[in-house]
Amino acid sequence: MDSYTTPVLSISHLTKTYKGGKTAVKDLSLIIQPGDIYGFIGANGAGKTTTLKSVVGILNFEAGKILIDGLDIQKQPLECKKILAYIPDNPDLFDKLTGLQYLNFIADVFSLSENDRNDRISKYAMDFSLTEALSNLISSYSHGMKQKLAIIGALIHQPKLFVLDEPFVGLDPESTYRFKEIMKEFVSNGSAIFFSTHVLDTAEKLCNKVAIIKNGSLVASGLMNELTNGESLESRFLEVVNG
Amino acid sequence: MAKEVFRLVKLNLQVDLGFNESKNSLNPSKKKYFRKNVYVFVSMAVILAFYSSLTAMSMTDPSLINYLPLMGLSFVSLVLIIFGLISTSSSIFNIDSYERLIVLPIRPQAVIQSRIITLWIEDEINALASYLPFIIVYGIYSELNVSSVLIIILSCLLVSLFPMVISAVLNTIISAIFSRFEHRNLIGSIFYMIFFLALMVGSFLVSSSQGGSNDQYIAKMLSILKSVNSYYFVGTWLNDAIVSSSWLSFLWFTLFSVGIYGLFVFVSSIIYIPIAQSMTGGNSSRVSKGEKKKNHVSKPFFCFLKKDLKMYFNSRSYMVNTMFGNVALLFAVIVFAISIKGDVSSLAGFNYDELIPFILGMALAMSSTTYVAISFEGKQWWLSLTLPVKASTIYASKIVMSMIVSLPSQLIASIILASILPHSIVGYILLFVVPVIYSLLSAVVGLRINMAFPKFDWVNETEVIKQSGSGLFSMLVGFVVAIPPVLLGQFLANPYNDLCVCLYALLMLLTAIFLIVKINKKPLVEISKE
Repeated sequence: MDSYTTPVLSISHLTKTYKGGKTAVKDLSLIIQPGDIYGFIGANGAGKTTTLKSVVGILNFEAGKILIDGLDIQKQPLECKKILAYIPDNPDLFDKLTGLQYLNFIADVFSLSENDRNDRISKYAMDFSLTEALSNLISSYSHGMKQKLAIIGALIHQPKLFVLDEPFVGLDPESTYRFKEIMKEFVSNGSAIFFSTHVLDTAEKLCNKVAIIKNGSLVASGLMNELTNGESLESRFLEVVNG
Repeated sequence: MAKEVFRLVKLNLQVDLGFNESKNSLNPSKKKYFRKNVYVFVSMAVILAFYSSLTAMSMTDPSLINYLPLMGLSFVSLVLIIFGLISTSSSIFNIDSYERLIVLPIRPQAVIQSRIITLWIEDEINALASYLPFIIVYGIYSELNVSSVLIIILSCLLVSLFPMVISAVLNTIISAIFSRFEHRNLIGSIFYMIFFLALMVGSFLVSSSQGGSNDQYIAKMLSILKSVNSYYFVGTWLNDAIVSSSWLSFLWFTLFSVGIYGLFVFVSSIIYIPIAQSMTGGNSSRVSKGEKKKNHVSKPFFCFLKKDLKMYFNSRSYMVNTMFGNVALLFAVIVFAISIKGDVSSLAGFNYDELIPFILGMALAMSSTTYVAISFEGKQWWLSLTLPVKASTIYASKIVMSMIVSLPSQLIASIILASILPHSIVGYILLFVVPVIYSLLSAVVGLRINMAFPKFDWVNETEVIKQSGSGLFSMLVGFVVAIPPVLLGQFLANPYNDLCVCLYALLMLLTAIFLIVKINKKPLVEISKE
């Protein structure tokens, strides 16, 4: 399947240097196909968030190319953003809006019909036990509730590519389980997920592919079972990072 | 505890003043932002010093001179109370850092003391800028002995204590009262508008009562100062201490100022934790009563506009700081309408047809919301960057929001002026069209400036709204734009003047359009500071 379909995400030779001169990502390349749940792991400051932010168009980069479903994020940012969803590691949402106002805002941006938005908001709010809280201001939400709201906002337009930065932080066990199920459901319909995490156990169970980044460079990537080769992801990760 | 307080004061100053961030950040924009804030801060102190110097210089008559220290303290009190209210949030009971600090082995008293000392240090600069000119003028026009000089030096450290406590108490009471209302921001904003309007009316009445001869002015001032002297006993003690070199009066002044400060620290320390807990845990009071609204569909432009308007009307600080120009404009127009009482003969020789539209426009330049519209997105900016919406849509929503906020007051002002002043046809057109063009241009200029100097990593919104150099710069541009037509009015006679002013208005419109085209070419991602 890999060789005949357009990759949902193709990163080639990405290099990103910050204004202070620090090179956060060096010549990074990877490909994500429809149906992939791609884990992205690395130590703190390794360049995961910079890579994810470059993929979704938050950061400019000086070298390399990022294609989302064949579209260039730098040349066709709007078209790319229409088919992706991003959840940052610490979702700062509009504190002065209610949860429902926020979701309607997102739904408007993605031109969802009234029926579609009603159905999806009800469904996901129920899945994440957030129905009651939707009428409250976001400023009154806990970190976990904000995370759930950001996830619902990312799900309602049914993106082709999910880019998630530490998506499980702050979620309660039930919501974590539900979100994993939703992730599997999405990729079975042809979407793909690219997410960073420090929870290697989750990554090992959930992902079919994984990439390890160290000091801005990709040091290992590929199918999970080939990369771990019978070992645990944790021991393989430590081996690669410390090696 | 002194060590704890010292450490916390150091921390507060590092965070509040931005010097630490500027010094240690690798990002050049942080340094630039810090420098810009320093310029704004220094400009404010210079303006205060200039204004108090002028006031002090107008009181050099022998009968008034001995009231200068009292006037100085009264001026300091007024400035600190106004500044305290403008900040619209209590920095002493600030809950943003409550959880961060309360988990540490630090006494609540130390937290409160450190905040009050930090506030005192920050207020002291404005207090000295307001106080010293009065004292210097007093020193020049009277013979100071050693005791008086010593008292003056010591008073410089104490002069802001009492006004600061009053300001903090007022601020806390007002915040506590408003927190009980569901529409607290709207009610709060209305209160502040009324407060500023009352301040302006008061200032207008005082200045109008000062009309007439110099003797009348002196007699009026003397009567005001005597009233202040009999009621404002802290000022009376300080005045007596300096004028009569009375150490006993200075002792009373010191004991009272320090005593009030101590009492305030003591009471605040007791109520800090309950207040902070009720404010953090009390978020449930913000819960609306089962809002079951329908999900309406909007186009991207309108959904951004709706979002921007909601954020604007939910921020008292944003509203108060940007509606000031509107309030000032309406007030000025109403006062003008009342004062001329239908008799326009006093305006003979004044080209009001051409000038008034630009004066209206200058007031609107103070009401532009765009100078902070990008920065106000704060940490949520990631969302605008990742949504499939054209940058031009986002810019347009911010420009239109600014015009929605500023144009209603302009329309009312224009209608009042059109009804009380006879205009030529061109004059009527200019009266309604120029302010609209001005509003558009101010909004576009404000946005462009904010795009050049964005600040997303703020914690408290006041930090970005009130301390923004972009606002001052936008206002300056608004004033500069009005200079050419004012000059034209002086040197050209009609009909050339009408023609030139129309061409100038057209030039403003073309400039605004040109800037919009330029702005729309700038992708959002280039605004982000990496």
